[in-house]
Amino acid sequence: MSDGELVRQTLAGRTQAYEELVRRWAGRVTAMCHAKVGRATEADDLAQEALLRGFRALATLTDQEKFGSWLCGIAVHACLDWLKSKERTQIPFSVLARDGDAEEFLGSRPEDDGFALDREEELRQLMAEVEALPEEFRQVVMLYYYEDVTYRDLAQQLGVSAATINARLTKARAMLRERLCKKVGR
Amino acid sequence: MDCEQALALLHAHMDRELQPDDRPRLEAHLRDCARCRASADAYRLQDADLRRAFTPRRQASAAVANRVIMHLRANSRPRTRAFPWLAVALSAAAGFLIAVLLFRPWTKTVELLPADLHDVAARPEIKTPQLQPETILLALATNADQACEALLPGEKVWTTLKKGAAIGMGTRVRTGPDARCEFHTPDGSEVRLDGGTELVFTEKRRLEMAKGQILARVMEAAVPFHVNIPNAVVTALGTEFDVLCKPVETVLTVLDGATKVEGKDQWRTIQTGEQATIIDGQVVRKRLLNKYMQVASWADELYRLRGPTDKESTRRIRSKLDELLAELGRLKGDLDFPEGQVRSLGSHAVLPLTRYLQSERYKTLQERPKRERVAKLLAEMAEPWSIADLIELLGDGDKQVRFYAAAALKRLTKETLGHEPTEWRDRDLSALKKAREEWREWWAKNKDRFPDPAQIADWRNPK
Repeated sequence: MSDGELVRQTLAGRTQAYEELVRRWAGRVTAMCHAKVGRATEADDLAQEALLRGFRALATLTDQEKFGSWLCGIAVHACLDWLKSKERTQIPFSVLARDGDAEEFLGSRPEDDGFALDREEELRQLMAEVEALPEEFRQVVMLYYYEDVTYRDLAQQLGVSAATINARLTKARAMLRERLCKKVGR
Repeated sequence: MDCEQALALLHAHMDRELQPDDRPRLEAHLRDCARCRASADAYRLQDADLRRAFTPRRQASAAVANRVIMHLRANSRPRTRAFPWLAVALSAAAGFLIAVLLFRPWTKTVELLPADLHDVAARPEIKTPQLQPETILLALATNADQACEALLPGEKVWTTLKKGAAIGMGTRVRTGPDARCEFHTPDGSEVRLDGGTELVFTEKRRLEMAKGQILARVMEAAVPFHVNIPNAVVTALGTEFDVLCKPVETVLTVLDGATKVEGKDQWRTIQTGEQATIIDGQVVRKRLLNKYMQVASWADELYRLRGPTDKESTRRIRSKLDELLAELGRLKGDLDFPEGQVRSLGSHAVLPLTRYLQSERYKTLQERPKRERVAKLLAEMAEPWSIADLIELLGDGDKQVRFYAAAALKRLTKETLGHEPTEWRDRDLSALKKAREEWREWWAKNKDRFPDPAQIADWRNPK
């Protein structure tokens, strides 16, 4: 069943149809948020918010077949709002450091006290490097690995060609390889 | 072709996006260029690592979807009106509760209901009976003769429990070597015991493990749920986890949510997909598992007893199948096809396998060997309620899929409507258009002979 048909059923009062849309799009919306804000936990909250905002604003969607890109637009807006509010409320690290609180703050994290650097840590580092990629590359890596999607799916979603997707993934993986090699060599 | 062009093709190949025309050019370049061959290996390893690194994120996005769905359901429910007689009813209920707490009937007898354990397997749907406060219910058991025994507080003789038995706090329970059972606690949490397990339900949200293996699905509440293991405590708030308690070590695997392990002088958080090994109260090893749902495969037998209409069973099986189907998508060929794992899911696997075959995403040349393996399995495993889907699969573009769909239909209906399964493989699809119509007409006339469509609807859209 197409997205448009599910949107129409939802507007007709069948909430289960929106559940199907949520299942269909949650991965891509979460990936989009993760790519935008670069942090997993916040991405989950923002994706949840975007999916609920989508439900509430569904009646304003004009082209029902374009539900996915409309929803991703809502997600991007939610992320931009969050990034703006973060700028306003974030305490600069230097302020903490002046008081000597920064080390204490970092040291208090339970996972930081000498736990063996094993495979799990390597994967965590890899994810941190993905999150640190320039947004254009981070976005394509996130969207590709969150779900089993084809270049064509990604190209449609991002409004570029499949060749561009291939080029961005190639470049992103090369950047990751280079960065991780530098770390290991350090 | 230079190395830069080869690199782009290499990534397309890795992502199963290489155009057939480009393959000979890439292969020729790789034969001659040792540097690109080395890069190919490195990028394949990196791709595998990226897939592993994103496994928890895939789970997290599924959890996001679940949370949104739960929110939608909670908010679309009609609100209860405050009726004038509500206060009276609540007073009466409170009086009953006080009486129950004063007389504590659960400490005197073990309530044995007449239901036989064999009945459980025959009934597809388990309805949780109304519990009295502070009692724990034996909801499911797999083996009637040696399922589960209880030692009531202050008693010296073990009592055999039957399905439906209610026990009080402080009761010690144990399972026979080949038996498994499932308890429901007053707060709605579920604790499944593997064979050879022994534990005590010490408080409403606390149990103490002596040995064996449990799979706990804990309801969210203000008070945490605790599982005492040797020299440590596992604390959970609305989560699902497996604990294997061995003589020297305990292994904790978190299937959903997060738990905290508190030992002598440290605590660790263990999250979805992580497994911790605990020795003498210390987490000595923590690792991320790719196929963590398989850790609790022993409990599948209990889930199967609930039947395909049970929503929790469906959720769990779907999660496992998502894992399996994601793995299917990653397999380069069909040699590593996890057939045994799919079979172990029994009838629960039928619908997701059908959806895999119906999905446009997987109708590609690369997926063809896997689709044919899935179709073959479906021919053996399909249930009468999948007949309508099988009829639609007779129009699949892959002749082997059509053949297996026809074979499944023949097995389930004892009908061929004049066309043996081999015809669906060997004849052109356009020549069989009329035959498909005949199958649809046959189904319209005969579907009443097969299971209730309402049951099918529930299974497809679990609430």
